[in-house]
Amino acid sequence: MRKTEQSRTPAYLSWGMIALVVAGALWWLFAPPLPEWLTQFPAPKGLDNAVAQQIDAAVNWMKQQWASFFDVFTWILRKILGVIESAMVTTPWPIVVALVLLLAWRLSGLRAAIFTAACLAYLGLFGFWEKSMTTLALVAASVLICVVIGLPVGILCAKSPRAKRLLEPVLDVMQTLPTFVYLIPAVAFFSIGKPPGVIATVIFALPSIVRLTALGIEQVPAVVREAADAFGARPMQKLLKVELPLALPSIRLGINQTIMMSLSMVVVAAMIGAGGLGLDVIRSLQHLKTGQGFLAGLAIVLCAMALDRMVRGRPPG
Amino acid sequence: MLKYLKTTGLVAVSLVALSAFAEAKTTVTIGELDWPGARAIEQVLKQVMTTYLDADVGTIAAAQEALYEALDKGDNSVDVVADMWTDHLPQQMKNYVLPGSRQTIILNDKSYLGTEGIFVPSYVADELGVKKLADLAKPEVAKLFDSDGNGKGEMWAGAVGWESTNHTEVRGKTYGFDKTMEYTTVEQAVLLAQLKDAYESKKPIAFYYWTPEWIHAAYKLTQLEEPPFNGYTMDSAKGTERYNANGCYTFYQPAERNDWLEASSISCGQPPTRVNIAHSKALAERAPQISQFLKQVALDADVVNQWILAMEVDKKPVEQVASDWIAANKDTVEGVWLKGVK
Repeated sequence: MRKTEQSRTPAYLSWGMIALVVAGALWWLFAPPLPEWLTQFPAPKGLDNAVAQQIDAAVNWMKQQWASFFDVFTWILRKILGVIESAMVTTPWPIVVALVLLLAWRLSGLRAAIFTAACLAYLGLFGFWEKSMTTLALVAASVLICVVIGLPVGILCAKSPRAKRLLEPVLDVMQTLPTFVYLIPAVAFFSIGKPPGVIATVIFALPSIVRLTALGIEQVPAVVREAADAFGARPMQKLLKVELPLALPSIRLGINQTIMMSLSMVVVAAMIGAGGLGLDVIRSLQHLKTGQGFLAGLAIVLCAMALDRMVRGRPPG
Repeated sequence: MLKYLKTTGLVAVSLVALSAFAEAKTTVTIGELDWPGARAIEQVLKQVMTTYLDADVGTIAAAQEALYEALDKGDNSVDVVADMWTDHLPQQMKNYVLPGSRQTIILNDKSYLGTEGIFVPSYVADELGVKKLADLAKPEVAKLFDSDGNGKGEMWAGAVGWESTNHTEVRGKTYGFDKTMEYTTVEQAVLLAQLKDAYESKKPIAFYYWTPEWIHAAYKLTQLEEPPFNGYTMDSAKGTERYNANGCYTFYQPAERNDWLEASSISCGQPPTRVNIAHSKALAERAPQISQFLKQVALDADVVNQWILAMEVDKKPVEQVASDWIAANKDTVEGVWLKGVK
């Protein structure tokens, strides 16, 4: 066995490190207290309040100027949601069950259908039927919007590095900015109820489908692209017949992640009046009904798993 | 043929118009808050508006902050919030209620009074002798509330962002328990879970709370004593009946000034909190008679407490609590609340 000289840390470096640690320990033991500007970051007093007030003023201005534009947008969204929800809530449950099971069986096979049936049975037996339909209507609308926006944006990101550089920080903000930071001020634009619930959900869930679509297309091997070019495929043909089909597993994963993230937003959406299963969770916790809270939480989990198994597709083979 | 079509069309149109007319009830949406007192008030208002004012009353549940924003927006997604603790919501009061603001939220004329303070389970007060809030400044008393073994006690100051959380911090500075106690600002639901555990194992626990509220029916609690409130000293209170230049109560919002904690000082109990029924200006314009009714509703803490007890101790459904009370108090409802409303 032969050791290369490079893989070992040079002796003078390790001695240096030890000396540094010893010096640090001695300092910590005997040194005089550090001056304040070293222990505390010298933050200018009042900077935070001053900036925050500017933001307040900007938000107030936006409220007055833009509210009527968003009213129209919110109204349209409310109508669409109303249609989806009343379709799901007012349709007699046996028909919904039959349709869902048929869909699960056709899309993903018998096992998925059986699992979905078990989930639906739980929702029905524990009295969550109507609420879970409300929640699923919200999730369905959110996922639909995510796919409609996310797929093209994902393709754009894959095709144009500049667009990707621009959109990357936006996606980061969408995924990490705590929802309540923008949700309460956004009431002035989107009111309360289901529309802001959908908007919050889309903001949170959209980045994953954009990222995974872009990733799927970027990962199409260069040789395959060259072959398509060699056969004289036009850019649109190449995209639709070569790249998208090859990116499909990744896109499917993106949709799956979008569904999961949408359902994890159900509780937050309930805080701005979207109702559904999330409201049950909040109410139970406020009144120390741990058991009730678990049942409602489990209902959300099962909705997510059933949807996931449904759209996952047939197992290979 | 054409004539036949015309007639059918006319009939259809008039039928639609008729049905629209028949459905022309005023719809009122109440924003649901999740504490029992609020639920009882909401239910009473709902039943009175349905029976006497022929309104179609719906509800929507959302976080408080969102409800007030929606009242201000006035798009009829929410028309009424039945239990507004006005002294806890200075920003909303300043922006939406008080003269000189946008005045998009209207309050009823007479508020009922809630109280608040720092509470301990009664076994702590009786067996360990902790009776006064100032006692917490003594290290040996504070140690009783120490649950993580660092020598300092813990107390719940209220949830993050609550007005009361800042009040507790200022009291800590004034009474001196900021050196012996640590504040926790977990969510209310988490505190309630902690209280339940502590109560069952008879461990000491100290926390901010208020009346009327159901936990006083579920547990025996004692409020730690403080000197009585004798007035605000802030300039902003000048001209109000609670102003007193030599008062015991000086409090500045963190948003008002950066040195709010150093500048504030509270050496007495909290004054009673005014609790109101709020409705939007949009509702007042759309349905003046309902607005008039909502302004005339007058509650007092005893009545609200009585509802809470019926719900939480006797386990009566809130609908029944409300209808029983309305039936037994027709004089108040018809003679005072609905006076001059038609």
